[in-house]
Amino acid sequence: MNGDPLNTRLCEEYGCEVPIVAFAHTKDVIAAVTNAGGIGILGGTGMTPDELKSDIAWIRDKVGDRPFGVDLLVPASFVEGNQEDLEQMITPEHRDFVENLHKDNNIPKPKPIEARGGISSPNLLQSAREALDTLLELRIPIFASGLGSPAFIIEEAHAVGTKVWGLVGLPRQARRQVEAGVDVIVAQGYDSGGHSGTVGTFTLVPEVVEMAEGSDTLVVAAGGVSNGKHLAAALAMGAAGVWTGTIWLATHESETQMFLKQRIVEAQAEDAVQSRATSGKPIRQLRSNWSDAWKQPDAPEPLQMPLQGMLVGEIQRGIREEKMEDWMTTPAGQSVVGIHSIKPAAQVVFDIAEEAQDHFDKLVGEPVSS
Amino acid sequence: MADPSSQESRVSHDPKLAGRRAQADGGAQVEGGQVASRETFEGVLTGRRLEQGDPPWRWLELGDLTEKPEDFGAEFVWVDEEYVYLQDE
Repeated sequence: MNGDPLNTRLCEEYGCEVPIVAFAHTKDVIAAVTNAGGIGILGGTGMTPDELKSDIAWIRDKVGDRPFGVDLLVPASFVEGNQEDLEQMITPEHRDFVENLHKDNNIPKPKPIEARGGISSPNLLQSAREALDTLLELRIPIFASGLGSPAFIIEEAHAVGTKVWGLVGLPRQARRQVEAGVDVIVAQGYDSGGHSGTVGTFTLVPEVVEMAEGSDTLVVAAGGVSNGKHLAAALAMGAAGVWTGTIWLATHESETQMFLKQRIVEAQAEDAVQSRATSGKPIRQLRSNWSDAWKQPDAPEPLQMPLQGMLVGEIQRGIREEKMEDWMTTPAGQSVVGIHSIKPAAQVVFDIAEEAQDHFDKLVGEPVSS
Repeated sequence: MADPSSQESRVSHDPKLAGRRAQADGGAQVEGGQVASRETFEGVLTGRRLEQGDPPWRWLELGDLTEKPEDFGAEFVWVDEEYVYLQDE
């Protein structure tokens, strides 16, 4: 550590200046964070190989040799074959409930759209493999597997100079990834946005750090991180850095709509609610009229995936097209509580690092950095 | 880009695994979104093994599911071998 608590092994091995990793879907955020001394990781799920190539080329042009990466939601399980007659499984009660939401709230019918391939594609594995091949062909500095184990691709990735990171929600997944030789484990606690595991960050991180001791694998903490105190706490638990997501939604560079940025700034931790109303799976997101509507006494239980998505896809598009702000939402973690203003991404990096440094200084009663 | 033929899938049978009880951590991208579901399964391995691509991405088939997400309707699920935990070990 060389006396500077923020100069961790992550900084030494990756060449970043502060141990702050930013996950975002906007390439401008990735470039800004990376150029500010952190590590930007682009959410590449849902992008075509051509879109990935275009964004990676753009980022490379902006950041040069600084470290950045791409995260893909590599599957961990799948069901063989196609589900048939799904439409018939949606009950009249559910259809009526959604129709009444349309009428009672003046939510318009959306314009028809051309369907785009999703996870029900029978070529799920092949699609994931093609995206991975694209990343390795481009010799991306970091590939982060956002869900499934990246073990099968580690050797091939290392051969082209790509570091492999794996996100885990359970200690047993971390043990398997340490054994497989991943470069970094991102231990993601329950309080993170989207769909995380069931174990809290403060429970998960120290256990994973202990597992990784004696190996070359570094551990990065995720879930509930949005300020310098969180960074200091993560380092005190033995992590080599933090993985952050929600905080970048409220930056100038983010493509998130301004009203959602403002709601993130105003939100409390309890406003990051888990709801099954959009897809059928519990997703931690900003509370909205949509999540509230499905919690009313007269609301039916959301259907299973993919039925819920089929049921509400049209009305959700109508909400977006009409820009019905009170009904729109975004995945967000409980770390919203630490976001107080909309700032440039670089400023967020500097503020987190400075606050963490101040916190370490206070702990020991004098400056700890050299 | 890898040769497309190297991404083909091959299914085989492993009698040493058939009938063994196992847990597995699964999940996939939630359709229509950019987030994932994390799911846990417990059941009995059928012995079917699927290998996709080169280097091989290995999957095992789990049936007789005694633990699965409440909204999971299928009888069998393919799970990544890396996240399969045999219960008799």
